[in-house]
Amino acid sequence: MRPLPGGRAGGLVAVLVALVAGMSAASPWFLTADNLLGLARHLAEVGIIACGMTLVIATGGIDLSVGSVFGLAGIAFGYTWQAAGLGPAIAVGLVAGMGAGAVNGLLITRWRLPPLIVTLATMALFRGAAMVVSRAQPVSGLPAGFAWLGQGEWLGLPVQLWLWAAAVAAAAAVTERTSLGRYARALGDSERAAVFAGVAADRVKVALYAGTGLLCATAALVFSARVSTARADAGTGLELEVITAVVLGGTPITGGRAHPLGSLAGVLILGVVRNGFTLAGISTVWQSMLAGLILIAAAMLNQRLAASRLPRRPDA
Amino acid sequence: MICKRALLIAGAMLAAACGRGEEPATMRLGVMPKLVGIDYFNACERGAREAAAELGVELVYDGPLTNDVTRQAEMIDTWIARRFDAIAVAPNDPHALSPTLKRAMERGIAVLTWDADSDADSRHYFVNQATYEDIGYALVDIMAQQIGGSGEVATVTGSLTAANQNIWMEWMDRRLEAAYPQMRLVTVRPSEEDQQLAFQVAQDLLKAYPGLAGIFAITSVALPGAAEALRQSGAAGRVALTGLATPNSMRQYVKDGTVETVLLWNPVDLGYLTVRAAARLAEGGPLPEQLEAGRLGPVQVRGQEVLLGEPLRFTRANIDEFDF
Repeated sequence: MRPLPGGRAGGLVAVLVALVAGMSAASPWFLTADNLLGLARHLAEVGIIACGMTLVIATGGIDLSVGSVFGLAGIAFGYTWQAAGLGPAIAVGLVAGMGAGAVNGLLITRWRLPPLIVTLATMALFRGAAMVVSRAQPVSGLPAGFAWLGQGEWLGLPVQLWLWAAAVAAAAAVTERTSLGRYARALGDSERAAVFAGVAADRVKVALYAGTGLLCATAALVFSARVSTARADAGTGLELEVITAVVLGGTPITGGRAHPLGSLAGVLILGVVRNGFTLAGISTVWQSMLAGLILIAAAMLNQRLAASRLPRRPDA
Repeated sequence: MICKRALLIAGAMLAAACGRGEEPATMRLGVMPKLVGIDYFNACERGAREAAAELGVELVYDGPLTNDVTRQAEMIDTWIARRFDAIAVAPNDPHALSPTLKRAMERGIAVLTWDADSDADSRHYFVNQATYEDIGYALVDIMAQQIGGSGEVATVTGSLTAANQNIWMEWMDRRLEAAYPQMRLVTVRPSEEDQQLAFQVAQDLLKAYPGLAGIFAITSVALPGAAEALRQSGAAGRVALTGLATPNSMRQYVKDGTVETVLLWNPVDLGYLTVRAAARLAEGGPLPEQLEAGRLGPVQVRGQEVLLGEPLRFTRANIDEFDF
C-alpha cells in the first residue's frame, strides 16, 4: 500500500488519539466496550457510504443524494418484504440503491450535467419517491432474524462492523490496486487529460455512482435491521455527515486523490466527538457548534499538511 | 512538527472543554424530549428540573435538534453506557426506538416514555398527559362549537409517524363520526415540528380548499404557524382554528381573535410528573396505583400508564394566568 503523503496519516491519527484521550478523561464510560461497540454500530452506516463517496469525490464529483437513496432503498426493502418475504426484499433494496446511483451517473455523464446539480435534484426526487411509495408510513415488525444484521454480533463484534471493514478494505483496494481507482483519480486531477489518455470517463463515473448507491442500500439494510423499522425519512442529513467525514479524511473536494482510510478516520473523529460530548453531558445545542469548529480546525490542519508536502510525483 | 502541535492543541482544548470527571452516587435520570428548542419542551424541562431539584437527583435533559428518531436512539445508547438509573423519552416514532429501549430495560434501567408512547414491551410505564380520547374529543367539540357543527375541516399534524398525534386523530375521527356527521375532514398534512413549514402548509390549505370552515393544528408549533398564516391571509375569523399549543406562544392570536380556544395540558406539570415517576420507578418495583407526585398530589396509574389529568382550555378569559 502506497503510504499517505506527508504527515496526513500521522495528523489524523494524532487527532483521533487526542480525542479518545480527551473523551476518556471527560467520562469514565467512554472507553467501555459497551460504549465503543455501540458507537461502532451507529457509525457503520455513515462509514460504509463514505467508502463510495470517497471515490466519487476523487473524480471531482459529489453525491448529495446518498441520504435519499438510503431512505428509498430502505423503503423498497420494507415494502417488498411485506409483499414477498425477506430474500426478494433484500435483493430489491440493493438493486434499488444501485439503480438510483446509476441514475445519478447517467444524468451526469449522458447529459453532461454538474454532479452538484444532479444530486441536489435527485436528493429531492428519491426522497419524494420514498415518501410517495410509503405514503410516509414506516414498515415495522421486521423479522427478528433480520435484526441480527444491525443488532447482532459475529465473532464477538457487531455484524455491521465487519461489513464496514469489508467496505473500507474494498475501497482501499479499488483505489490503490485497480484501474478503476486510477482512472477515478485521473478524472479528478484533470478530466480532459484523462479522456485524451483514453480513460472511459462515462463508464468510470456511472460505476462509481452506482457503487455508492449500492453501499447506501447496504447501509439502509443495516439501519432497518438496527431499528427494526424501514422509514422513508431515514438518512435525512446523512449526506452532510458523509461528506464532512470524507473531507476531514483528506480527500480533496476538487478530486484527484482518494483516501478511504482517511475517510474512515474522519468518520471515527466525528463519531467520537459526538459520543464523547454526550457522555460528558455537553448538550446537543453546544455539540453542533463544536462540531463546526472541529471541522474548520481539521480543514486548516489538512491545508497546512498539504502545503508542506513535497511536489507530487506521478503515480508509479 | 505540525502533528505534535495539533496533538497538543487538540488535547488541551478538549481537556479544558470537558470538565466533568467522576460521576457522584446520587440517582441519575435522563429525560429526552422529541427535540429541543421549542417552547413546549422547554416548558417540560422547567417542570422536570423543578422535580429533580426537589428530589435531589441529577437530571440530564437533552434531545436532538430536529425530530430525528435516529439521533434519539444514538443518545439513548450513550445514556445506557453512562449507566443512568432511569431514562424517560418522548419518541419520534413508536417502533424505531424499541430495540434501544429494550436494551436499556435489559440493563436494569427504568424506562419510561412520556408525551408520546413506544411499543408496550419496550418501556415500563408511559406518562400520558391526558387520555387520547379526552384530547381528541375536546378538539372536535371546540371546533364544532365554533363552526356550528357542519363544514369542511382539515388537520395539520406534526410527523405522520408520531404515535400520540396519530392516536389523537383517531379519536377525533371517532368523535366526528359519532357526533358531527355534517363535519367532513378533507385532509391531513404533516408539518414536522417546524413552525415555518406549518405556516406554509396552512397557507396551502387555504388555497386548496377555499370552502374550508376550520383547521386543527395539533402540535405546539403547528398552531402558531397556522395562526400566523390565517392572520396574514386575512382568513382569521372566517376560518376557525384550534389545536394544541402553549398559552405563551398563542397569547397574541387569542387576544386578537384569530384563535378562540387553545387546548393543552400543563407541560411544566408533565415534565415534573415524568421525573417524579422516573425517580420512583428507579427506586424499585412497580408504581403504586396512586403515585405520590409531590406538588401534584396523588396521580392515577392505570395499568402501564401514568395519567397527568385532563386537558386544559385556554381562552381570552384565562390565558393570562399561565406562563409557559
